[in-house]
Formats: sequence, structure tokens, C-alpha cells
Amino acid sequence: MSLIKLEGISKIFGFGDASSLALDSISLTIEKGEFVAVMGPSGSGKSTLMNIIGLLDKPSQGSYMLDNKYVARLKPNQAAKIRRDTIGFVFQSYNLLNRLNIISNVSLPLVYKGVSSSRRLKLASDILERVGISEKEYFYPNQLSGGQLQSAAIARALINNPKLIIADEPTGNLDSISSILIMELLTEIHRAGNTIIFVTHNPELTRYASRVVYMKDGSIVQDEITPYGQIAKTAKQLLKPSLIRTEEDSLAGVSVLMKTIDKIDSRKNKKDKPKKNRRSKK
Amino acid sequence: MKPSAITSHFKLSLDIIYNTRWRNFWTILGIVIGLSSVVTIIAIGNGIKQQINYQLNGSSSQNKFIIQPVAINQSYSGTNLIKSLENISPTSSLSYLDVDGIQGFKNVSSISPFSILKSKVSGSIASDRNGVVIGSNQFLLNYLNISVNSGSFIDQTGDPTNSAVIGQNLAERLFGEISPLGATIDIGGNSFVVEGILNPVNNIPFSQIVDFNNSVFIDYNNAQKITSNNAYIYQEFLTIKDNQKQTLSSLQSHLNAINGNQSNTFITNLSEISYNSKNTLNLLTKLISIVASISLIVGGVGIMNVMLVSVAERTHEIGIRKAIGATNRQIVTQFLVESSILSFVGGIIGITLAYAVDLFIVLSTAIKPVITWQLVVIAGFSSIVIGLIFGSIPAIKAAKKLPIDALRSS
Ligand SMILES: Nc1ncnc2c1ncn2[C@@H]1O[C@H](COP(=O)(O)OP(=O)(O)O)[C@@H](O)[C@H]1O
Ligand SMILES: [Mg+2]
Repeated sequence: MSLIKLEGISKIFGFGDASSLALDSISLTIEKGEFVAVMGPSGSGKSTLMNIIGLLDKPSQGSYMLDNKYVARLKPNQAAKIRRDTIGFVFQSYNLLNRLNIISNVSLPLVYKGVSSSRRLKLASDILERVGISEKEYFYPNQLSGGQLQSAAIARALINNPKLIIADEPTGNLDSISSILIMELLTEIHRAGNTIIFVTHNPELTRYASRVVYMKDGSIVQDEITPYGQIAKTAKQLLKPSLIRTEEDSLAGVSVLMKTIDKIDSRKNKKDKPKKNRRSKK
Repeated sequence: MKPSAITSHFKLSLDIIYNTRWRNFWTILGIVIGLSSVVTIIAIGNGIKQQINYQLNGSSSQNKFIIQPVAINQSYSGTNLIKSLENISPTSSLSYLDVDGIQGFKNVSSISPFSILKSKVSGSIASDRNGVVIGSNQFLLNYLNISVNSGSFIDQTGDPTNSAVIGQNLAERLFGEISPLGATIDIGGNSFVVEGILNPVNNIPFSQIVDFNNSVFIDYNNAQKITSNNAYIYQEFLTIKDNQKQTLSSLQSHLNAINGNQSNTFITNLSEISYNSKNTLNLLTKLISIVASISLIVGGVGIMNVMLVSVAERTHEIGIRKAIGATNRQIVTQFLVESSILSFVGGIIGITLAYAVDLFIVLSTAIKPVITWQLVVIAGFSSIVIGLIFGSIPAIKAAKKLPIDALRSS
């Protein structure tokens, strides 16, 4: 049985002349245990799709089956309980509560489940250990680095042992080393049996995925299975210098992607020509 | 909702309230003032009621009656029995004959005339130009809640010697530190001997007519003597043993007969009088409480306001909480906990303020407000209820936010 089954999902924002079609009749099936990367230019509808899959938003049209239940038209409270028990979210901007320390943030979903306070602390402590920031339990979010914050956010997403983890650009605010650490962490979680969907602009990160879905203008334009450890074929195209850059894309994030590519290139160059550099300095 | 979640909301609410304490301080001021004024008003009402009880029916008021020429309901507009004397003109006074006549009635255990004279009263060191002299008899002691500190009360009807009993304050004013027992007191040019001094009497607040602490008590016969039979009886205090109904009706017809068959004397049960005055007091307390409650409503609206601001400021937080699985009810609970803590804090400060105000009233007036523990509990409870009522609109507003819209706001 598939974990996620979307059929003809559309999402329209606004009314009349001002309306825009963010998702255009999307059908997508994701099996248990998949590690799906979602790519596509800014405004292509990736976040909208994640929000609908995560029950944060409702589709305008179409049917959605999550874990054998039809969930496209749930009441707010039913959706809340499914989010609590079945889905873990990781956001680009971490979305931790600044007023709470890390362990309280991580255990917050358990509050809504009615778990006793001592048990909450125990579980949160275990998870923080697992994501490798147990020494930061009693720190507040403003005292942590981006990578540590995202680790805490992942810990919070994991605390209810959800079947599905949705990460919308989890590395979007992180430097490349932290990005790698966070992806390694997600991989580990994936190995433990979770289904993970993540959005990324960085083709490099498709190495971690088992499947890559490409979106454009609210539609899925490509869907490929890819072996672990290798950059997906279509994503690799993006790394070629011949990549056509539209103005819109460069405005809205692909420039970030290009910077990353530049870094990767320069790293290769350094490896190739260390001696030359020394010589030229002399 | 499970208790652990409530505790968690509770801790966080305290933290949030502490962090925004200045804004909150101004907000709860309305609750503080409203609640402290309601508590103070009710406490004053309680205090006055207790004092009336103490003076009028220290013992059972069921068998005590007042005979007077004016119907109680016409004359009692204020808070106490003595004040009604103002309304009675001397021409309508009762005849002394009634006293003798009634005393002989079956089942009548005592009757005291109550006559008030204004006269110059002089002691050994000072005099009082407008002294209050009460002409009565020995039964007054049983009827009113007064007692003798030293010496004795007016001994018996027809006391041949000119004996007088004086109130505590008057004794100090006219005689100073030395006990005036046995000393001579001059009442309107007549010499009396001080035979007794009263214990301090708890006067009813607002009663300026008769202050027992500043009065001289003499036998009614002597009052007649020094006024050449012009000591008018304003009221008579009657105590009946048994068979009340029958005794009362025969008394009433007796009184009507001697007054030329005009029904112009009235016999009223004491409990009815204090009931009446308590009713008036209750009504007054209610009216003022309603006015004070308006300030509570203003306070509640203040709480609503600050909670609406808080909800707006924390939209993103609400989004996060919903994303990780908070139901609408859990969000409502969170904000209700916060608003009720806020108004409860206001309530506690208000109650404390009421204690301070009452202390001030005790020190500066004759009123002794009584704050009962029930009043404190009700006040505290009401403050929580105000928080819940006025917090509900902001809380529902918070819960109704769509998770994705809330998350998107920053
Ligand atoms: N709340 C919204 N109101 C109106 N339009 C929206 C809203 N959210 C997203 N959109 C539009 O939907 C399209 C897809 O947006 P989004 O899913 O955020 O893209 P991506 O995450 O791929 O960058 C965009 O054109 C965007 O402007
Ligand atoms: Mg997006």
C-alpha cells in the first residue's frame, strides 16, 4: 500500500482575475520508505504541494489518500491530529519557538498528545541525543547555529515517531557543511524506516534521494528513480554551465544554486592546481 | 485536555505574562480597581449589617417590638432605627399612660419608654451645652445591646433619688480620668448623681441622632420632673413573653381606645425593622455594586484588548503549534489559561487593595467593613471568570487561524 496517493490535485489561490493556479491537476504516488527529492524553479508549486501533503492546506480539487485514509477534506481538528501523529515537519526557517528552550521545543508535540511532563523530557532527551545536540538541551534557539537549530527541528519532527517527514528546503538557510550534516541526519532517519520528502534547489543533494520529482508551473514534469550516492541525471543537467537562466529564476533562488555550483567548481579547481598557485605566489 | 498540557500552558503563560508585564499592568488596572471597589462596598455593607444586628438584636429580636406613632414603613428610609426619630414630631408623642397600662398586660414582660431631651449637661471639669438625655427605665438595658461597666443602671421605676447613668465618652469629657461614680452631674440645672457608667457601645454608622456613648440615661419620671411633664415619648420598647398574636391584638385595641379610636399607634416587630433596614442596605449595596461592576467590564474589555494584540503578535507561533498538531481546542485553552491568569493576578491585587482601603476606613470612620473569606473566594473566582469570558473572543480568533496562513505570517 502506498503511503501517499494524490490524484488530480489542484490548488488555486485568489479569486477571479487575481487567481493563480499553483498546482495543476497533480497525481503522485509515494510508497513507504521512499526518500523523495522535489526540485523545480521558484514558484513552481513545491511548497504548495508540501503543504497539501502535510495537511497544512487543503487542495481546491482532487483526492488525497494518506496512510489509507482520504484526507483532502478533513475538519481542522482531524487534520491536526493526523499532523501530530503521522507527519513531522522540517522548515527552511526552523520554526522553533524562541520562548522555549530546545528540549521544550522538541517535546512540544507531546504536550498536545497529553504525554506526562517527565516522559516528555525523557523522550525529547533521547531524540536530541540521536540528532547529536544533547548538550544543547537547555539552550534557547537564539544561542544555537543554523545547523544545530535544524537538528533540533528534526528532533521535534521525529518525536512522535511519524510515518512521514516533510522537509521544505531544510538546507535552504545552511552553509554547505551544515547542509551535508543535515542530509546525513535525514538519511539516517530514512534508514530507520521513515518516508521522507524534501524540497531542494541543490542538485548535489539528490545524491541522498531514492527518487527525484521535478516541478514546473504547478505540474510534475519529470519523475525519476535514482541510485543513492549519485546525482540524479536530470538534476545533473542543471549543473552544466549551458544552463539557461531565466530572469525569474535568477531572481528567485536559482542564483543561490549557481553560487553553490561555483563553490563546488572552485573546490575541484583547488584540488587540481595547488602547485600552480604556490608557484604564482612566488 | 490532559493535566500535563494544562501545566505546560500554565508555565508558558506565566512566562509570557512576565515578559509583557508592563503592558499587562495597565491592562489589569481596570480589574484591580473594579474588583477592589466591589469588595470594599460589599465589605462595608456586611459591616453595617453586622453592627445593626449587634445593636438591635444582640439577643433574639423575635419577641421585641417597637410602639410608635408612625408606621415603620413610612419612616424608615435610612439604615437604622434611631434615625427614624427625626421624622417624628413631638406632637405625635405617645402618652406615658400607655407605659403603665401596657406594663400590666398579660404576657408583656417589659416596656420601656424612650424619650430624648436636649439639655445642658455639666460635669466636674466640663459641660456639654447640647447634651443628649434619655429618659427611660431599667428594662432598656435588656432591650438594647448596652451594658454597665461600673456601678448600676437606673434601678427601678419611680426612682426617688436623682440617679443618672452616663456613656463612656461623656464620662471622659465631663469628668476626665477620675471615675465619676458618685459624682454630681448637672442636667439643665438639676443635680443628679452618677450611679453607673456604660461600656462602650457600638454605634450604628451614620447615626448622628443618638450616640449612646455621649448620652445620659435617667429615669423617665425624673425626665418628666425636670421638663415639667414635657418629656415626650417617641417610642416604646416592648418585650412579649408568649402568645404574641393575641397579646399584640389586645394591645393594639387598647392603644386605639386611649387614642380616641384612631389607628395612629403602630406596633412593629424588631426583626421586621432590621429586616427592612437590611433590605434597604442590600438594595444600596446592589446598586453601587452594579456601578462598580461596570468598571469590571471595562477591565474585562482591557484584557480582551491585550489578548487580541497578543494573538496578533503570536500568529506565527500559533501556526507552528498547529503544524505540529495542536487542535483548535488546545489553542483556545492556551489563550484562555493566559487571559484568566492575567485577570486572576488583577483580582488578587484588587483584593489586597480592598484590604488596604478597609483598613483605612476602619482607622478613619466608625464603619467596620467585614471581608469574609467567602467574599475573597467569590472575588477571586469572579476575576477568573472575567478572564475566561473576555479571553474567549481572542482565544477563538487564535484557534480559527488556518495553519498555513499563520505559519506564513512573520
Ligand atoms: N497564499 C498564497 N496566495 C497566493 N498565491 C500563492 C500563495 N502561496 C503560493 N502562491 C503562489 O503559488 C505558486 C507556487 O508557490 P510555491 O508553492 O510557494 O512555490 P515554490 O515553493 O516552488 O517556490 C506561486 O506562483 C505563488 O505565488
Ligand atoms: Mg517554496
